[in-house]
Amino acid sequence: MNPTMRSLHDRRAALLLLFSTISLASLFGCSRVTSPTVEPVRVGSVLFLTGPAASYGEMQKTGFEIALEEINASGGINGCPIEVIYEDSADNEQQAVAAVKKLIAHDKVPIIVEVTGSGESVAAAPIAGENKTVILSAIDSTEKLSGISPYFFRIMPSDAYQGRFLAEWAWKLGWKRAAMLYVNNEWGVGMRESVSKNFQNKGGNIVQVEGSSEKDIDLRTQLTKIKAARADGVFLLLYPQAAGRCLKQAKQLDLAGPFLGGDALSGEEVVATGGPAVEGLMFCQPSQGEGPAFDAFRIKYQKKYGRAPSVYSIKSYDALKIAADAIRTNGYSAEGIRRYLASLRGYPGISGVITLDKNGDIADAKFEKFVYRKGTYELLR
Amino acid sequence: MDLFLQFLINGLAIGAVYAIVAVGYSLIYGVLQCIAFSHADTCMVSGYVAYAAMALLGLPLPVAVLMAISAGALLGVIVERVAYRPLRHAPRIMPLISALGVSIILQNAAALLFGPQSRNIDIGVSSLRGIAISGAVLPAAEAVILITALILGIGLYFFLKSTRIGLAIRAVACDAEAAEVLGIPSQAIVSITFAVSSAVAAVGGLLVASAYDLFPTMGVLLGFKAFTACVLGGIRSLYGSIVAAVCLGVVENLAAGYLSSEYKDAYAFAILVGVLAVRPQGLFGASDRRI
Repeated sequence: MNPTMRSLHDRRAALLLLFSTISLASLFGCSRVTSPTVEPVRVGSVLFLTGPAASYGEMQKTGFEIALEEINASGGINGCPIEVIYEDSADNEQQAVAAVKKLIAHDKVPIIVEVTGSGESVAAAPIAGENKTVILSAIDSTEKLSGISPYFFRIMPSDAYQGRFLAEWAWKLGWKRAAMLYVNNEWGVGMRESVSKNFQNKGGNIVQVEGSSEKDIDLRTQLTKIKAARADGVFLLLYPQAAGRCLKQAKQLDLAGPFLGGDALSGEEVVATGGPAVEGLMFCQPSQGEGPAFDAFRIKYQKKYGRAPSVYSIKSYDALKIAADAIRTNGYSAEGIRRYLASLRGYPGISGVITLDKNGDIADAKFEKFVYRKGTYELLR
Repeated sequence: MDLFLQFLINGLAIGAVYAIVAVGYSLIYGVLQCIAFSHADTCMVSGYVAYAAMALLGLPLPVAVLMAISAGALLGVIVERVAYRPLRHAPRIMPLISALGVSIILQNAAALLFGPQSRNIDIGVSSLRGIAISGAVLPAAEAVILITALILGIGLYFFLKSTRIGLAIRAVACDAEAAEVLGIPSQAIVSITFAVSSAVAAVGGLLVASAYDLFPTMGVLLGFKAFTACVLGGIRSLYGSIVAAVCLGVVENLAAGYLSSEYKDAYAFAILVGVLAVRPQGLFGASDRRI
């Protein structure tokens, strides 16, 4: 051993000694503390925190935050605070799968409350299932997710319901020949199929179907074709931002609509992007809750964030509360949580009474109709 | 026929936007031989400056436009100073990575400051009625894009052709060392190139924000398309890039119109692969020609 090596060796030995002394001291220090340190109960969540649909992440996170505050203020789960490990999928399926794998392998969470995005969930659900980890989704709606894995549950109604509701609504409005503009991803294609099938069953015709990429800012060519088709109305199956952009461009091309779409059109970005062009846009979304718990949430949300909560914040709040309840009842294990969710009946959520069926879907779905007037939307009675 | 005309108008407008961004890639590539991937994000930043000036500070449109353009130019100079200059003699992959880093930082900074939601800038034309041309509509916002792009193109042509600084930029692009020997301060010229191309991109950003949309990641696809146009046209050829950008916009929209709109973005990249297979130097590029 040469002198340099020796000094290095000595230094290492000294460091080792120092560390062991410190850790021993801290060990004894801990044992003298009377109250045991409480480990927080951790759950995972994979949201759109960045990317083209990042507003979803924001809306969901704010819903979670209020649920967290409430749970932890009332003593957490059996005395332990609950904590959410947020991961960002940036609206990208590969990134969502990587985040889910990380939450399973590294953080070892038994439940992931929300993997936002239908495509993301379709990709992640089988992986979570294989690893016996529960996914409880708050807002994913594509039909493909029904019964995708025994470990996958959701409290947003399947698009099977929403597609039917939209088709019936359009039929009642007197549409016979409809056009359609959809976002070319798992959710958009699912909605396209659901709405088309139901509208045709009613006897209607879909005369023009146009797709668009989520990132494309220019929808004029699609709108030009839709305008040329001279349909009675247009099903707008886009995310909020794209919808606002689309309506703005439709107005520039003198395409008046009428436009009709699903819950995605409730996002505040529709108006932020579309401005006055949004006037008259109609959409449906799952009924928001009623009753004192819902009102308390709404007031709390309004006070904290300065705006009314969207259906996504409301559903996210419910999802986290249900997850906490599952852990409280059946313990911090995926199997226990799965059993709890599989037999969830009549849970009093702020978004309504929640019962899950054998496919992990919400058993009954009610929708309400809305229309945009003067930069905000109002309920159509 | 009116449908074809409408597709053509749509294509020309978005093609003009691609061209405005592509010019910057081409100019910067000329003086630095590197792809400034953060360039398209300059559009986004300028758009937000205009948005902040108008919607938050309540300043009038001309002031906001001036602020956006100055901010764009300044950002270009700063980015060059911070992200490219220290890596001038590093392997070529380094500035590329550094550019991607700048791009990520700018996008996330915008998302942090303004939120991920998209914003709406009204430059006073979106409420105007479009111009009807034999069954097709030329929306006012698109007319503004086309006219502005044309003015920018002509202005840039004379700037590069007839001013001393323009001449110096071309000299540095041709041979930086020789230009230096002849007394042209190549470093200053690089900074000026960044300022000019970023100011042009800033105008592009304003146009996109008013006609389409303003959001933190808007530069991503815009940058890809503009870059595709540069490679198509031959990145060293400034006018090649412009022509290719306009063609790209038109072809993409015609294909989406007559084939299927589902694969609109795929057409652009299919064209790129096709052209590169036949002419690796691009449509107008020649290995010895410079801007």
